[in-house]
Amino acid sequence: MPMINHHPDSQLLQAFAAGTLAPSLSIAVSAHLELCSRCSRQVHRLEARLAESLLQGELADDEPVADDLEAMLQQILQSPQMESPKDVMSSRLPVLDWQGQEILMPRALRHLLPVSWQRMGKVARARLALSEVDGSRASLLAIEPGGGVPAHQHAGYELTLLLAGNMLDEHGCYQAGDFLLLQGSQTHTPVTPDGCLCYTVLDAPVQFTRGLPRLLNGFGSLLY
Amino acid sequence: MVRQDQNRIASPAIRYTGATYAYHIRALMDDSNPEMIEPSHLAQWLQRVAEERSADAYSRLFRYFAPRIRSYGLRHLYSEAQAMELVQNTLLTVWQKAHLYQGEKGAAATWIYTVMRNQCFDMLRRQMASKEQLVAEDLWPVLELQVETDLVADTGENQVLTRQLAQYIHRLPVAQQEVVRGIYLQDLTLQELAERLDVPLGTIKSRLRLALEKLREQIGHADD
Repeated sequence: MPMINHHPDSQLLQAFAAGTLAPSLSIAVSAHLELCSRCSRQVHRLEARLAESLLQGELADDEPVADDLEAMLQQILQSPQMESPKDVMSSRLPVLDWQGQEILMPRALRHLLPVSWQRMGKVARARLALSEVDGSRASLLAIEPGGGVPAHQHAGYELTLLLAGNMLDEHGCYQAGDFLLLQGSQTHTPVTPDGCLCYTVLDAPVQFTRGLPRLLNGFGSLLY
Repeated sequence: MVRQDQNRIASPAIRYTGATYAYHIRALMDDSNPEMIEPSHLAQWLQRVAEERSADAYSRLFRYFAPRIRSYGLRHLYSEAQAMELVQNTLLTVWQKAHLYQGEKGAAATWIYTVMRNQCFDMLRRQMASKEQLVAEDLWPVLELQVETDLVADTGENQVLTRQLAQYIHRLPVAQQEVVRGIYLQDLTLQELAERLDVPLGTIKSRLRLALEKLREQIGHADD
């Protein structure tokens, strides 16, 4: 029975609920919530609190726009209320073929797929077309059984959300739904006995720390 | 009881228009009368908008939330015009989609807050002129019915089972998916579904039969 053991911390959940978290990280939190009822309930509680503060917050002076608001109200009242079955029915999620299985993708990715893959050894990477102001880059990584990423560290953060398969590193073992955020200077050497498919976000090029892969450090965009 | 609550707030709302509107809002919200609007009022109004398309209830909601959403917009967006656009986008959505609010899933204010947060996210995304298709609704499903929240509401084994079944359902032809989702996730009757999808009852029945046959076949294979 799969168990999710690695969760976003409460600061991330708060920023997600407030809509202030970077979109690339929000995708990962959203995907985690689909599988984690605990964090999902927590986000509902945070939203309720944010709504409270909306009600109690200080109001800007609306005297200058009072007429505009009233006109807006009348205009909205003239527009039809829609009850389109499409609202209810369009919940299809994308699937990705991986190791002969069809893997249901998180809904947060459904307008960002399909992707094209680049392969390097046992690792295939697909960059997601997601423009970020902070320069972070979001990708899907598919690693074949027995594959891994050489020991490396990051100038910034590295986020990994497991979508399928499993992965191990010095810090633990991860499976679908697990949310792993490493801050810069933390070194890790992920390996995947059975292969894995994951969503990753990096905000700076990877720096390899041991052996020949260090040759790649000049070409940081390889895994970034 | 409802009637009495309405009367307390209703009579001034009818008299004040235009420039005195801002004054009216402030008078309504005056701290000396903190008991005037309670969460239960908001929920009743929203329900009346959904069920009776009540212009009166909607006007109350609008006059309560518009200054708050505008204040939020002034803090999160870049101009008065955009703050007003946020008011318009949010409260038009509330008017059009009130029927998607589910009282048992949280307070009315929380629902409206999430609609506003999502609209704000999409406006900020559009400003970046980003070409990718990430939309708030994919990160935080608020309007697209609650299939996903239903999935995460289940815990443990049930959740995993539901997710597996979702995988199977996804492989059905779209027309059959709609029927299965409508009946098993939204608890619609066959008749309701026929009306929503605007197809004869007999068609719904045969789609359901075909879908169930296919699902049974797939689940059988999975057990092998």
